[in-house]
Amino acid sequence: MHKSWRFLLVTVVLGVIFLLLPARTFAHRLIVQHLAGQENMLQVLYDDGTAASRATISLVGENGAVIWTGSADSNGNVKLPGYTYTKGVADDGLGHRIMFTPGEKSQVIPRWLAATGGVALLLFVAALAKFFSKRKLAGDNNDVCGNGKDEGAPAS
Amino acid sequence: MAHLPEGVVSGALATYGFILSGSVSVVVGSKLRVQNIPKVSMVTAAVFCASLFHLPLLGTSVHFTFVGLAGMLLGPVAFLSAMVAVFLQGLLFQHGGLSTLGINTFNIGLAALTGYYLFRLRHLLPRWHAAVTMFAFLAGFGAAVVMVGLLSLTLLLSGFPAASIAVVFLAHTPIMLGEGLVCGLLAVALQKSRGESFFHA
Repeated sequence: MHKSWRFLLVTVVLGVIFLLLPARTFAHRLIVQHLAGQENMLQVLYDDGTAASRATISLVGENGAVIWTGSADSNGNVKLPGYTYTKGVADDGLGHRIMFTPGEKSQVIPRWLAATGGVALLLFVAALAKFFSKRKLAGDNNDVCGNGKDEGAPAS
Repeated sequence: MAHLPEGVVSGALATYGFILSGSVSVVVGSKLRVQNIPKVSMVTAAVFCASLFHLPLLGTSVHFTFVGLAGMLLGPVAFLSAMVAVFLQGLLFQHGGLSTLGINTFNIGLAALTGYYLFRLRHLLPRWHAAVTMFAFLAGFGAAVVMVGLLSLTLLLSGFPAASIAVVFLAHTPIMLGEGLVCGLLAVALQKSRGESFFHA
């Protein structure tokens, strides 16, 4: 088999392995969302949609003190006690943490757009560097040729 | 998982992160050449997108980083690649925070450097046919181990209990093996199609 075909085959196999990974979606951070129609119910998720079942929620009152702490169930759901709070903190105990305020709706860039934007930016940088690198190389070659001509040219 | 968000690490630790990652960036930055930037950008794009592949495990979510691969292909400059990828992931995916950018860069960048140095060990066994594959696996696996180790150390210094660290390590075990496997397979493919020239010496 030709080398480039082998390379293509391995790339395709790796791609298929990734596609077959369970629940392959996007990377993670914690998201807190209010469940529709249930005022005192929150759901804590990773942004790939996985329920953050290890998460604990702390509610902070107007005086800055923690007034309530609760744990999420296996679906990431937490039933709030109905206290008035100024902010809340969701923490999974493994380094993921998010702060939220009552009624807050997190606004995020759609993942496909963010990923495309990032890759496009990096490709642009690559193209720009390639352009300048080629131009510099061409300039160096011209200098060498130019110097060669000058050396051979009769003095006026 | 390697991206620590705001409010997890102390101000002092975050500052140390900026100082350390800034210092390493200055040192490795001197090795960057304009003609290498296209390759660096392409590998950075792969590292940037790697966090899109995740596994839900042990009640948390872990993702690939491909930093070992970056180390194999870019050499010391992989640290800069990791820095740009972490910055873009924070900016576009909201992974990690602004104050933790330094410590996240240091943890992930140092893992990339580990991948590079582990892969260099293949030169010690030039006659061994499978050296490239084995050391590529080791580079991917070792880089992931170092990354999780540094992340665990950061969490320990931030007051997290040892039980959390154990969960972090356990949850990342498939990722470590997966990164090693990907590096090994890609090394075989690249060696067959491009020879040694595609790897950093």
